[in-house]
Amino acid sequence: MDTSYSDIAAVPQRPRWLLPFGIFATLFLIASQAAALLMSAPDRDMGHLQKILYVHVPSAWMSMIAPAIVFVASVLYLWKRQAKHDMVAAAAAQVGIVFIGLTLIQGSIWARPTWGIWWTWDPRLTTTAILFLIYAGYLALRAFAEDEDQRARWSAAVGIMGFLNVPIVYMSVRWWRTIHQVQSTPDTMDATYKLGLRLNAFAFLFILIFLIALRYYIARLERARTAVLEERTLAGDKIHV
Amino acid sequence: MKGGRKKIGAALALIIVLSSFGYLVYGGIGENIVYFVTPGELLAKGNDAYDRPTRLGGQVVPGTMEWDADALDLRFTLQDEDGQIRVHSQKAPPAMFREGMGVIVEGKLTRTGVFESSSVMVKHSNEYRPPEDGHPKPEDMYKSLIRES
Amino acid sequence: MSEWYYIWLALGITWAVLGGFMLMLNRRRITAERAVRELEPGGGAS
Repeated sequence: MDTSYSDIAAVPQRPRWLLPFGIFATLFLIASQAAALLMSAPDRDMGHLQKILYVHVPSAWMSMIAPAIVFVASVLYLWKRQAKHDMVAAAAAQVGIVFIGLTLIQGSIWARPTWGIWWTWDPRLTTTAILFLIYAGYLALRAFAEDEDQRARWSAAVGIMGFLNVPIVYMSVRWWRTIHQVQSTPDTMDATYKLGLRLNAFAFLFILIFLIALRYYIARLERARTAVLEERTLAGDKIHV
Repeated sequence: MKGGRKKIGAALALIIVLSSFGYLVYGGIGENIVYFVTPGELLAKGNDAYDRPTRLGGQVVPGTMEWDADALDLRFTLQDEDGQIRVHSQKAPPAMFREGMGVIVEGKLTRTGVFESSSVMVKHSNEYRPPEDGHPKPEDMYKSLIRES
Repeated sequence: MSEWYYIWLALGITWAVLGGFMLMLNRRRITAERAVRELEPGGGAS
């Protein structure tokens, strides 16, 4: 009883800011989406289809920020060998792949009425599809690996190497001929669209941070529970849950 | 072991991911690093230019577009600095298709010198402007299509 | 097809995926918190 009790004392407490921040992030996203969609005048070439910009571009940015978090956490893990860095990397990868998948789907839907096709293997689209596969592989590897330390080491290696693709995705439209246009800059975008995009960029960032923090907290809870149960089994404790 | 089935699923997922990854990196990228050729580049290939699957990108020469909506017959000329190629397609042009803008077509250059295209794709520029700003400038889209290439 | 079809499709999928993912994680959080609470001596386990 005493040994497991000390473990229970180590059960993670929910950060106080977590749920309030989640509510704030959600409300901020709703307000930003509404503001951007209602404010924006139709573009002179693509008309109202321009509105897809407010979900596609922020999603694409999050698809690069999340891998960057995986990268930093993976480096920290290999350096310090603390499980928490491994868990942050896993949380960021899981949330990140949702945004990468969203980016691909939104892009495809946007491409149909503007470019005239759902999909084409241009360098930007191909490298983004590869980005999705890298994190799908990362998560499959985590589900596959048995030993906790081994899993953390392998994942960290994939998390570090996989990140190399992010600058390639970003630069693909500049390095190679693509159908995808180069990044818009404040100069190529009328003022009416800029505010909406900036608001939604922050909204998506808040959502990203909240989801990663929530996923990380769940991982800590589940890990603490497993640790307590294992210890009880080893100690032959009579209490069974 | 309750983890057994999950493990097989993970292993399968891993194999699928790795093989598609390998396919994309070695097969896909190798072919698509030069995503399209310009009319001048295609014509410069001489005999090799004909009858093989090609992606051709260039500017729609203003005044060359002929669109017969009843017969679904679209013809226009694509150009770059070094050449012009007549393109034929049996599909409606995308809604954003305009003369003077950058377009990429997929198909084959036939011996008659006409490029038979199976799909027409329009390249949008990175500009977003409300219409009050003035008239569309399709040339900007052309510039963004083959700039620095 | 009308441009609004594509607009609502893209926006709708985005909102649905983000909302659904958030709800899923939140349910998982509640389950995990309860499971941990039930470990405590005399706590929660009913």
